[in-house]
Amino acid sequence: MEQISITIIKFSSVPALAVAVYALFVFRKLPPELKIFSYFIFLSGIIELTSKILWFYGINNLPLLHIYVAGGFSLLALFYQEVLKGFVNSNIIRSVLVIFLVLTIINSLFIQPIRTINSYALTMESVLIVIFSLSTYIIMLNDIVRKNRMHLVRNLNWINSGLFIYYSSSMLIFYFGDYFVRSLPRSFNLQTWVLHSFFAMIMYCCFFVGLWSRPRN
Amino acid sequence: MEQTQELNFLTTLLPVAGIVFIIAIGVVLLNQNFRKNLYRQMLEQEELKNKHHYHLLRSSIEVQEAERKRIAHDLHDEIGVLLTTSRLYFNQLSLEQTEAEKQVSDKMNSLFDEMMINIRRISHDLRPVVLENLGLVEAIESLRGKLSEAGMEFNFNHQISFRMTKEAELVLYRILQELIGNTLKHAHASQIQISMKEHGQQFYLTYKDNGKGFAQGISKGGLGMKSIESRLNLLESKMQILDAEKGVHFLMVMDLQKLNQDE
Repeated sequence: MEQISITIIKFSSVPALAVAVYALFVFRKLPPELKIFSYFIFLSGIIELTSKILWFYGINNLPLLHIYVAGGFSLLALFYQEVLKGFVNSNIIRSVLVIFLVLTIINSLFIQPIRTINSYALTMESVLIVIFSLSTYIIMLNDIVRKNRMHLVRNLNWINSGLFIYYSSSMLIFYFGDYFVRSLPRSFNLQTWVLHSFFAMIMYCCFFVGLWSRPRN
Repeated sequence: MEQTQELNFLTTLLPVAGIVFIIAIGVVLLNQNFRKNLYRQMLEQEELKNKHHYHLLRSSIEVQEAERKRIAHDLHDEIGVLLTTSRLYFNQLSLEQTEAEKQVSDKMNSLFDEMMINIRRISHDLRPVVLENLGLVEAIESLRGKLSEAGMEFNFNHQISFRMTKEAELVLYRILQELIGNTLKHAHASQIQISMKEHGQQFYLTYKDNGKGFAQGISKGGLGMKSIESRLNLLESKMQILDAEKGVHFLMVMDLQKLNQDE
């Protein structure tokens, strides 16, 4: 059982890399909103690949997570800003991004150093992405918005669903991470990481469908 | 030991409620911002639509006026000249005439006169030269003579201290033309009363007759009334129908800034 879990964790990077390669192929045909989102996919792909290489050579790859949280959230905030342009004040999203970056840097420098897991920043990122994705769902229910973003509704639903599923689950996983490590046996701790990888795979599958169903004309 | 673990789990779980609360607050705030922006967008769209409608109306009335001007010019300068020339040739033909031929010739000459008077009248109606040269008050005064010929008592009071734009003058003149036309055609009235007054930042135009009124005469939804409505839209005004014992009583209130040339 433990072997299966380790295998799942090992191969969890495959969907991320596959989606990154696919995004690279279709990048030129994508509308501006999905282009910004593709940068996030590229970043995820590069971070995944680099972390695997570092892991292979036995080097601590946690500093990459600090970069990924800051960079990934920046790109996702810009993506949501573009998607909700005209409907939600861009300054709100920009302000949230700046505050988040400042807090993340403070966290990485003084609270959770770059060689440890930055669970606080991850939880905060997850909370903010869940807020953005839930708001996008509500906003997308409006007829005027649907009419205005008609060409993107389908893609956005897939991408938004992927982000919501992954970040809401990882929010709980990272939040309860410390508790699991302290209170539960190692096997259970491993299962939480399997669960995390499983949700990440679901997210990348949603991204793939979102990019696949891009507006063709 | 078990109790400590339970307590530990509870203290871990409680902040989750806080996180969920933060998420809910965040979503509600973003949603509120969205509603506000959506409302603003809808207002902007409505304003754009109104502006577009106004420009369409304005250009259609401008085209209509330009076409009237062209027809008036053609009638007066081309048909009128042709008629005068034809009359000259005709009179040259009839130098030596019998009594019967002279009668026909006189009849023809009077028909030529009538035709030329009608052409001049139509062309002046289409292109009010008095309005163009002397302004709205003089143009309305010039209507007095025509109406008196039709046996109509015409009262015109005015109190205007500003210079009206040419466009506004034309709009008001056309409206009055339409109303007078209605009175003459349908109302069987013997009296027309027009009043133009300014008060504060408003300009009041009233039109009254003592005819049959709406019950038997003018239709409220007729083409003429629609044309008046469109022209008033250009001045962002509306026509109110006031109660009258006899006949019709209209009131049009306009913003002085829309009419004043110096504003």
